[in-house]
Amino acid sequence: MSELELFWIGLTNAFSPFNFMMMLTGLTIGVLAGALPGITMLNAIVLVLPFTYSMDIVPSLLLMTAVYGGGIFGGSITGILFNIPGDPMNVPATWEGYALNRKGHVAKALGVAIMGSALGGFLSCLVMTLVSPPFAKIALSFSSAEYFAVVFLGLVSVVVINTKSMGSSLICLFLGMLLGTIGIDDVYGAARFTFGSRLMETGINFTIVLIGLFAIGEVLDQLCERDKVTDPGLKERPKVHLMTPREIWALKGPLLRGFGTGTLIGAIPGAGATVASFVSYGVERQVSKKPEEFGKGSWEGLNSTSSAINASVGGAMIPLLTLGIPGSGATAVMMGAFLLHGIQPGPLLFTKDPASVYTIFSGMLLCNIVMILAGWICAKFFSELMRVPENIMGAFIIVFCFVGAYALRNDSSDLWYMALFGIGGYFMRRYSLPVPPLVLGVILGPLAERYFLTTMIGANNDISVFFTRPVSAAIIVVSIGMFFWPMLQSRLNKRRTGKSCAAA
Amino acid sequence: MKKHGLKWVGFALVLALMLGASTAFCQEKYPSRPIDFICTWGVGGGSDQMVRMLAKLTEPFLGVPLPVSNKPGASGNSGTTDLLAAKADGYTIANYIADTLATIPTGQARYKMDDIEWIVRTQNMPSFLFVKTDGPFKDIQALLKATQENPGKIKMAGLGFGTIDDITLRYLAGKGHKMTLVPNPNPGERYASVLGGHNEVLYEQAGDIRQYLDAKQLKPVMVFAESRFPAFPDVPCSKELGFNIFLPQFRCVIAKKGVPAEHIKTLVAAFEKAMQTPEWKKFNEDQYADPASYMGGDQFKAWVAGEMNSMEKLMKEFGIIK
Repeated sequence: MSELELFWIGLTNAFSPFNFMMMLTGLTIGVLAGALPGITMLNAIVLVLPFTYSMDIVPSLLLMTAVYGGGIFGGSITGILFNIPGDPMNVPATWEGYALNRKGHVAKALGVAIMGSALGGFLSCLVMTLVSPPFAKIALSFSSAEYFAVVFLGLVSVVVINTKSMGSSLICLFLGMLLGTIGIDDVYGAARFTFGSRLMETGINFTIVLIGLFAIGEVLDQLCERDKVTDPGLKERPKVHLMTPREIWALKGPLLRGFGTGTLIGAIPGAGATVASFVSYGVERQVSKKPEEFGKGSWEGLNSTSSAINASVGGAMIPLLTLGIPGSGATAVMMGAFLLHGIQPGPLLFTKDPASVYTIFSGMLLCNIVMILAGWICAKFFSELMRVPENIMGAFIIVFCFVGAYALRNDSSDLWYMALFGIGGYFMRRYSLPVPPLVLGVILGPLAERYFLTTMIGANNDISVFFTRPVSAAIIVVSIGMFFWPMLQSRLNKRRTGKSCAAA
Repeated sequence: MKKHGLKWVGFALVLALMLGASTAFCQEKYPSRPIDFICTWGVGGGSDQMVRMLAKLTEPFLGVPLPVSNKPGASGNSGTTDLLAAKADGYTIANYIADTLATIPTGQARYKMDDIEWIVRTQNMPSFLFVKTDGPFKDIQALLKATQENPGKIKMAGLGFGTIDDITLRYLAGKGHKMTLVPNPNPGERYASVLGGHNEVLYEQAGDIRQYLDAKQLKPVMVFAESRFPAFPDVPCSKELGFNIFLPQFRCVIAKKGVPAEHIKTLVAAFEKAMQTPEWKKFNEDQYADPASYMGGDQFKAWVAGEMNSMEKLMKEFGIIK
């Protein structure tokens, strides 16, 4: 059977009422869970997994990929509306989206986020459908040195993005990395910074840090500012403007660049959507003709990062389906779903059961189109919430935070950590210290450490391995360049203005 | 009228007594309500699959459901701690694996072997050394020769230092076959590193990498056991090569010490019956677990004690613990 025929069979399967319903349900659950602060995309996937036990593998996979894609996008909604990103990958979308919201462009900002995510996701699923096997081969040629390089690039992007004060970004990043070391380390099994306490041994879960710093910190901050700031025009009926084809065409550059970085980084284990989001945002800023708009409401930045986060879904599915290697937390849970149905994802899946594979492929393509609808409905619903007074909204957000934090691993000590980070987040805002580098430090620090150590052990402690492997060398050189470029640029600018002054 | 009233009161009292007696009688029957089954590892992993399959298949024999909840963390010790904090009434059980047992001698676990009631061993899975099918090593002889010629040059992907993987590797190094352990706790990345040719050898149980075995991407070269594994009759076992180290991975069911002996007996009998069902046999076969995995009660307890002693002895020998 030719691939086109298989694809056609897959498409008709995907349109079967039950499969289609699963997709729609998954998308709605995903977008809602992603949008609710405290309930992350990963939590949502873990929660739906038990429901798939009694289903066939195709609808259960469609349900889970729908939750995955929807969940990744969902956090952008609350980010744009309330300045509270649902997941770490929604942080860049929050910066630009919330700034645009403050300027009164909320309807269009939501539309750009929805369309960017849907189109980026669609294109990456197209890559997955057409060139999965060769793409997987490239992914396999990467070793821990390349994994480290990509995480390093992610860390650098986070620092570079804040041009106001690179110093405070670095301080927050290192603080986050320090928090990430708490607990028993993966490689040597050594207890670090636990102070002999049992509670500290499992370490600090990054979701707790995220919810505390972003959601609780933001609510506290907004409540304290309540008397001073009046909400600009929130009482009218909110709208969501989807992009017209002409607007999409105008933003095709950011969209495609975001899709490219997202798909590539998504296929590399470990980093996933979060790194893709920050790297694409950083790249966009370097190539943009209007870099001064970034951080103050840039359509390019918003579109690029939205496209990248959902493109990482297609990227992450490639190693899972073709090699049976889950690269991210979400795909690891999906791997479990495969195994519970007695199916081994991997090379044999394509020869043994091509109909299922192509149903998943075409289902995922379809999913991204349906997401425009699901995203629009959910964005509309959440926009209505903007008319709720802030103090009532804040109380609900805090309740969701506590529920989500407890559901994470049924541990009440997590709630204390979250409350502490919430207070910390409030003070960081007061003293204008950037929150995202700290959260990214907690997430990426341990990954960077592990890949670094693994590479060094494998290379007999010879640090040159990062520079003798071409791909890792290229990524590290780009990262270092990105780090020093802004300093060089300002130095050059100064010299130029200095010269012109001297001439005058 | 008054007398009549008293009569009714008396009748009601007798009725209440009877009801009370009957509920008391009901309580003697175990189990009379659902049994909480804690999975000490995350959703979707090997332990999770085992626990959910076992819970489903045991339910008809116990007559009550066994709802599963996951409590991952600290090599399985977070869930075990929860189990030990619950009442010893037989209504909370948990799974337990060899990697968690290894934390008792290192002191990472804060309980002793005797704090646990060892109910039944459900899966016994010997570990293997795997290499790439189209890689440089044809069989174990070729691999052992290479390790002798270039000590430490061959890299083996495994779990972290101080784990069973590490102990096995140090044992082999002591026999003149030194390899470098490249630790990675993420299974997907570990397998990718061997498939991509970045590390030469993988230490793993066969069930976890079935997809690569079926696709002929990886092949086993040695099993750490006293006899060859039935599914791979051509693969030599460590004993015939003169390596007396086995340390199989195993999964089992435990309860807190102090659960009445009859309750334990009921549980052992129910699990034994569940493990004789064709569904379980197929599940075990798919996971490449030993067909003779079942072991219950005192026999199992003695076996676990033996496993822990050999781990402790080797850890002392290699200076991992004092």
